[in-house]
Amino acid sequence: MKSYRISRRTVLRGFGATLALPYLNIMGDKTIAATTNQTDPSRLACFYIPGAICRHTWFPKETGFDYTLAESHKPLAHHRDNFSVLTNLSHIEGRISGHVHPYNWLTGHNINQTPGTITNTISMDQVAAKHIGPTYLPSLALSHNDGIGTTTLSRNGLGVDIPATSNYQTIFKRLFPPQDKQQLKEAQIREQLNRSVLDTALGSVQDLKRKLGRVDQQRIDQYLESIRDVEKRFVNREQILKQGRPKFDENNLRLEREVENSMQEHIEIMMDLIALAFQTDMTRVVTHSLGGEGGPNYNEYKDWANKAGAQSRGAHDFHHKGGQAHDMENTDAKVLSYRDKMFCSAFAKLMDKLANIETKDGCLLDHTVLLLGGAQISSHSGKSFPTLLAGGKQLGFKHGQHLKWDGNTKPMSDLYLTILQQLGCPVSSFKESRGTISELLA
Amino acid sequence: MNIKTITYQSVFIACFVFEAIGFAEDRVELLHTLQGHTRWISAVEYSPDGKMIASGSDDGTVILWDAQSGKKQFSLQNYDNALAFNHNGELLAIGTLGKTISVINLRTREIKFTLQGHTEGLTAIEFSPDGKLLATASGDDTFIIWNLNNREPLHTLDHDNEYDISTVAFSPNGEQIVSGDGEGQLIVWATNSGEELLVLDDHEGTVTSAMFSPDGKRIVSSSWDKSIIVWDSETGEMLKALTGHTDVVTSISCNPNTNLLASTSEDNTLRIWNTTSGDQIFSIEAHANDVTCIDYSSIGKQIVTGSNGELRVWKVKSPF
Repeated sequence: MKSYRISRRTVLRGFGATLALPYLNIMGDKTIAATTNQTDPSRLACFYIPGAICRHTWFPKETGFDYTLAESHKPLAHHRDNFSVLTNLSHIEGRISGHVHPYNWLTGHNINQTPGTITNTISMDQVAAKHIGPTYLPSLALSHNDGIGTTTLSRNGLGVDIPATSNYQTIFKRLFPPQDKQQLKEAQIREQLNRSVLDTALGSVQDLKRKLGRVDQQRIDQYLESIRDVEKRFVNREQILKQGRPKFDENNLRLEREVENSMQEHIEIMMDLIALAFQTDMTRVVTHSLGGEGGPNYNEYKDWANKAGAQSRGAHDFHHKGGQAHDMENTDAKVLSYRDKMFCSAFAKLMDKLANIETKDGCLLDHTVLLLGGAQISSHSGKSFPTLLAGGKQLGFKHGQHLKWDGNTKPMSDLYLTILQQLGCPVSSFKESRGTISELLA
Repeated sequence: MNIKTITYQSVFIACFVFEAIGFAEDRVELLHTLQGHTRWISAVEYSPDGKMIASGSDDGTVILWDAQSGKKQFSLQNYDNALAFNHNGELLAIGTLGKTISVINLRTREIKFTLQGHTEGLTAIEFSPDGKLLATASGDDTFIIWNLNNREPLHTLDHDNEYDISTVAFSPNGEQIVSGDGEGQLIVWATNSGEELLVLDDHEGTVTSAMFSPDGKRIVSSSWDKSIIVWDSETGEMLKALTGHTDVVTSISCNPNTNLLASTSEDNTLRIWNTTSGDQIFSIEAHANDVTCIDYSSIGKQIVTGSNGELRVWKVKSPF
């Protein structure tokens, strides 16, 4: 007798089919969802500013909606209504100092709780990746170098570092299915193999479950739930692999730097890849560490030093000397200010790109939350985070304002909870959060 | 206080210190102000015979000066940071913009050879006392000890952190090497084996300069924490902290024949210290801007200091 029951896997296949999109000849300036008149999913990108910022040019003097743009934020002037400046957020229980801030910027965890070892918890981006993904790639960790530790911003559910990459070719290969037919076929076979391994594991677990008591069965159910997440990811990847690489203008995509050791070019190439990844919906969550606490000593630092009349120093030394400067007469402060302005300029270009990509109901920027910030106003100090939040109007965000709280009172986790909920993640708290930031919501 | 412990030397130093304060100009005399660079001077060094001065600047040039007349001899291009003469003064090694080290033959004024191995710019260079090795430190967080016979790295060493190696120096017998980093740590290494011997960890900011004393028994280091520390090079014990600079100490240089040490700072001063007693002998405002680098001549009779676009050559009067 043929069973009338529809297996869970069949449902998932069906779900996958609903995600399947027709082959697109030319995407143009639309998202992949917009080409079929579907509503876009939400996206998240977080950018970390290393070391200190120049406090004299970063913080606006006034608060509210009528504030005057700070000097460092002037490249964002044309997006004024699409971003907000948030001042004095910080990790309160999770406050740390030194050069380890990249470890907990997105986690809020006090990594020094156990002396002599670093412990951590899941980063905000990975919570988002679990709920608003998966797609072809659940998330993407980018950086100034390849590596873990302070090089990456992303930590998984166990608090373990997710390796970041800085190589454009590697990123491209991870982001998109192979173009070559043979390679595409091999990728599909690899995916099927992964799937069959998972099926075998699932079968074994089901056999085991029948032999267990009720409590252990509950534990097994929890395990199966996590397996379902993985399985769902496979479904998405299989569907995308079936369709092959989406069509876009690959000839105009930069995957090499023209100027060796240029910070601005590196960041802009990464921004281009992020915009493309979001447009094609190959991933929905990205983190990017814009530089290390102790370097690289990019070429621009020499140019800025020249312009400011400062001595040439390494990046680390500029972070320290510029961050602790008492006024803008200090030439090292000027160097940091130039750097901050460059970050905001690159951020503005990414906003330009996302604003120019159409969705069914507006533009991609409206469906994307962008976070630009750091964890130190001067080197080693974790008492006030420089933070810009942009985009996400279709997700309920209200911008164009400078919000400022008393120091050491407002947890950064409140912002993370706000972001996660507006992205559509079913979470009621994040780390030390006390609630959402209602002032940011329309 | 046991009066028997007061030596004639102590009395002399005490009298001298008393006399010196307020009379710094009697101790040094400005011989020359060397103009030629257009930006900050990042490195300066006397040739081993004391006849020549090499200065490197953020303007991308190295200028060779006649130390006695103060006249410019010739200049070299493509300088990035850090320079050093070899033991006989025939070679000058400079860090160049391509992250390479160019070793210049000073007779022909041509590049004799180049060394490539760092992935970021150079921060410090020094030849070993016998001229057979070259140590190069970099913003790539490593330093390399090069064997100049085969021009290959003997060791590539690091401080196991992500901060620039900011300074490097050989001991007088060449058997040890000290390196300092951007977070205030110094490490002493065995040159031949690359073995880590001592970690010196009392500075609270970037180490700007470090070197062995002429007798090799001490290590002196300067830092952004405004201090100079004198260490026992055998035990790593901190012997003295020399305090008095009111801003970052940028550079230090040992008098080759005495226990005196010269230092420069972003407080615009040049100061001389007794490394045994820890006393400051005198202080003088050496430039109108931050003083960025310093070197004692090989016989200890001259000092050269660098600042924004200018060098100053000082005659050191007796008894220094």
